Amino acid sequence: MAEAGLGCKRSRVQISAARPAFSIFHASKRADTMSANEAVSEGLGNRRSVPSFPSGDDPQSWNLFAYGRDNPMLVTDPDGREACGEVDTKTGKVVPCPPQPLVNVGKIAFVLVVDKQKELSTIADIVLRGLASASTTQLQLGAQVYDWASAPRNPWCLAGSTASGAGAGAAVGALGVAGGPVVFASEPGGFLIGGATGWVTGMNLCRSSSGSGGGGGQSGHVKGGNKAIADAAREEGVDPKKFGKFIEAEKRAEGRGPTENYTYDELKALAQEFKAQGH
Amino acid sequence: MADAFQEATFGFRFMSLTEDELGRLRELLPSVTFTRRSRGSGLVVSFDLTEGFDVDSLCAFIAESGVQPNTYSVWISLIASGDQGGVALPLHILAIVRRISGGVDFSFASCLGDSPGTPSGGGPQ
Repeated sequence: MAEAGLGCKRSRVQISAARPAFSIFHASKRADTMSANEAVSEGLGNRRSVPSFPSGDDPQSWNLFAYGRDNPMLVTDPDGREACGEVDTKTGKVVPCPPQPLVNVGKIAFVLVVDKQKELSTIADIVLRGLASASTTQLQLGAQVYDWASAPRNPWCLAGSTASGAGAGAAVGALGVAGGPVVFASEPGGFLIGGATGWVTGMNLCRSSSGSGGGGGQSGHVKGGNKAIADAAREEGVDPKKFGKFIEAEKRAEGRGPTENYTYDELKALAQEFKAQGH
Repeated sequence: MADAFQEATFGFRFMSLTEDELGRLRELLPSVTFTRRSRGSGLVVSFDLTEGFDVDSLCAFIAESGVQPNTYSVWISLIASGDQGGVALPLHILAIVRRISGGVDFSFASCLGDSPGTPSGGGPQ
C-alpha cells in the first residue's frame, strides 16, 4: 500500500478494520487518515487498513484539527500526521523537518483528514490538510509544477493579478467538488485547516510568514482569500484602498510587468514606506 | 459591501528612455508630471493620461525618437475592493491606444478585506 511517506519521523500504527487502535475512535465515530492513493485504489469505504497518526500517549495528537500542536509559528506538519520543527526541550533547538521531495498533489503525497464527527461516506466530508516544508521548493498540481520557493505569495496565483486568490481558491475548490482530493498548501509557519460540511473552504491559500488560519466549513461555497494588500495595509495601519493605489503606482513606476506582483514581504516593506510618508 | 470601491487609472509608460529623450519629452509635454526610475541602462518613465492629454505631441515624440513599440505601453490599473469587476476604456484612452502602436498593460490590485458574510474561521481547530 502506498503511503505518504514524507516528512517527519512518525510512529505509525496500522489499524485493522475490526478494531480501532485508539479508544477515542469508535466504529460510528472515527477519525481516519489515508493517502489519496489509498482512497482511490481501495475505495473510500473498503479499506483493510489505514495508517493513523494519533499517538496513544500523547493527547495533543488526538485532535486531528490542531495543526502543528496549535503552534504554527514554530511547528510545521508536512504530511499532516505529525508535527516537526518543534523545540527540543533538552537543547532548546528547533527540530528541523527532513528534506521533502517534490510535493505531488493529486497522487500520494498528502493526507486527508476526515472529519471525525462524520462517517467517511462521501468525499464532501473530507477535511483537507495542507503540507509544505522549508525544503519544499516545488509544488505540483496535476501536470503543472509551481516553483514554491520563489513563487509569488500564493503559488496558486501564478497566473497573474494580485487578486487571483479568489479564483485560485475557486479552482482548488472546484477540484474538490469534482471529487478529487485537493491539498491546501502553506509554507512553514502557516497552517490551513478547513472544516467542510459540504464543499471546501479555504480562506488563506497564500503563503504567509506569520501563519494564517484556514476558513471554516461553508456548505455549498468555495472561497479563497488573497488579501495580501489588505493584510499588509492592516499590519502597518494604513488604508488598504490608498495603499492599493500606491502599490499600483509603484508597480508602474518600477517598470514591473502587469503580472510581476509583489511578494508579501515586499508588500509589507512598501506598507512601511507608505506609512513613513505620512499616510 | 457598504464601502465597496473600484477605481481605474490610466497611464503611459516608457520602459527605457535616455536622459536626453526624457528631456525632449518634457519639452513636448510641459504640463505633464513624469515619474522616472532608473532600470538597467535606461529610465522607466511614466505619467498619467488625463482627459485632454496631448496625444499629438506624444506621437511626435515616438516618431522622432524612434523608440520601439515593445518598449512603451498604455498602462491600465484597476484598484478594487472586490474580486470581480471590469474597466470600460474612456474615449481619450481609446484614441491613444488606436494611434500608438505600443502595448496595453493591465494591472489589477484587489484590496479585499473582511466583509460581512464572508466565511472566515469557524472551522474545527
